[in-house]
Amino acid sequence: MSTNPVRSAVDLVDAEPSIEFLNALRARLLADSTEADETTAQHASASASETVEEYVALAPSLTRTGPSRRAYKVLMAAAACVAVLAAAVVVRRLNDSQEEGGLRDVDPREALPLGQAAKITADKIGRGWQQVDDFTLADYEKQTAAMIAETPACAQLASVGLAQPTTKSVIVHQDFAKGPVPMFHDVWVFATAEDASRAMDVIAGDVYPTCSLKLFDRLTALNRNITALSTSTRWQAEPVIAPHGDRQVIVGQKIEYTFLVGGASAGAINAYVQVGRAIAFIDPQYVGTVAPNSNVERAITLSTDALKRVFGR
Amino acid sequence: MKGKAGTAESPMCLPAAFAEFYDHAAREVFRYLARALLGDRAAAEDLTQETFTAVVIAARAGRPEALTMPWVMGVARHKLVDHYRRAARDERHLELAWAQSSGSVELDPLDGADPARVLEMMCRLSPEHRLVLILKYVDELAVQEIATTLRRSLHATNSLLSRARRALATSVAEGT
Repeated sequence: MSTNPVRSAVDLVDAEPSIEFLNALRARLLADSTEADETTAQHASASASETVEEYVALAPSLTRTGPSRRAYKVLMAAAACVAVLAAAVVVRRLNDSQEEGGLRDVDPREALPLGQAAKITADKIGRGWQQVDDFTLADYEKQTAAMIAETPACAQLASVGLAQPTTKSVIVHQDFAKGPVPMFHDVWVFATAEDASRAMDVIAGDVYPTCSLKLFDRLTALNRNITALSTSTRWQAEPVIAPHGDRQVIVGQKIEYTFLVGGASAGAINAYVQVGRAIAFIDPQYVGTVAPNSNVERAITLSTDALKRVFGR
Repeated sequence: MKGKAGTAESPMCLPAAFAEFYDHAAREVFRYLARALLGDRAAAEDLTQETFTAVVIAARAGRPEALTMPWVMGVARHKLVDHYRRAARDERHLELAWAQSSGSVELDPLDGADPARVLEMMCRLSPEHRLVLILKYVDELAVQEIATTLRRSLHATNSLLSRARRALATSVAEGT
């Protein structure tokens, strides 16, 4: 193909947009951007339903795209953003001044290498998986701050190392994808096993899941691969997952996506497993089974085994 | 949902800036997508709309790079890849195509072929073959860049590209 016949062929395509289309889209986007500007200040305090309403206002009515096409994108967001309160793209120590929380400060110089050693690799997850990077640290920090502003109770999570900034834990974040299907893997390292256990107590409580789902929904809007907003709710009747590690907490998540046109539902299994002074988080998509050979079980086992190699006693 | 004025740093505080950017970028984004979609104007309009909706969302989130050509073209390419992936899945070709391996035989029977004929045959290729040919020969990405875009290994991308070239060459040859 030294003469590039493909390009010669593509040059035949009529690629000029119609003036009507350009003008209609321009008008709609300008109206939306103006409205978005006006609503930015209130966004942090918007309720879930209001958020969807705002998004619908952003959605131009010009689309010919059907819900079935959008539904494919559900896979992109089923686990996306669920780094949640552990949402750090890099491992870092933040804020030296912490409110009194009872946990010891962790020494990142000692803890970070341990967290790094508990990483998993894409090839072990399964065929077709690759490590990717969808969000910036600035995205996480901004949305975490907004989430805390919206729900002040969430600020307390920093005192147990579960929200940034904190000195109570360090975190190693990994972001994987298999085609359109994402999955996050985070490892928190605390100063002691007792501190990790206290963090697990909080994860198992009511505040943490609420905050994590709120942050998930805020981050969905920033996903470059999905044009949607989400409304997440706790999946109270989540499937029973076989136990892993020293202790395990499962937070089931039901997600309702609002696309430009239509919507779709998805489910995710947010698994938190403690081994010694570390907690691993992984969020495989729920596709109807948690059997021993399921994607859910394989992912949690892989994560737990990595944790055991470093933190097992 | 009407409320207070937005924060000063938001690019969306300046609708004129967005309008100026749109006027500069929209036609180019549509052209890129229409060509990459081999003239499917409806899909190109859909993806153009999705691309600029992403611009609005990103700008609103305080990302200044959203109003730049490199960023918007990057989003457009993401939308294009997603489109072809959806199409591939719909046709249930994707998994099979990426699972297969083939030799690296380089075929050049298309040199001198009628571009209209090549275009017609490209439209009949599987979505993943169309996409990789577009990324290679229209976007002129390096194979490593294509691999990154498709989130595939270099080896798998080379194999896919080889199969796409072979499929196009074969279809053009058989059709003449």
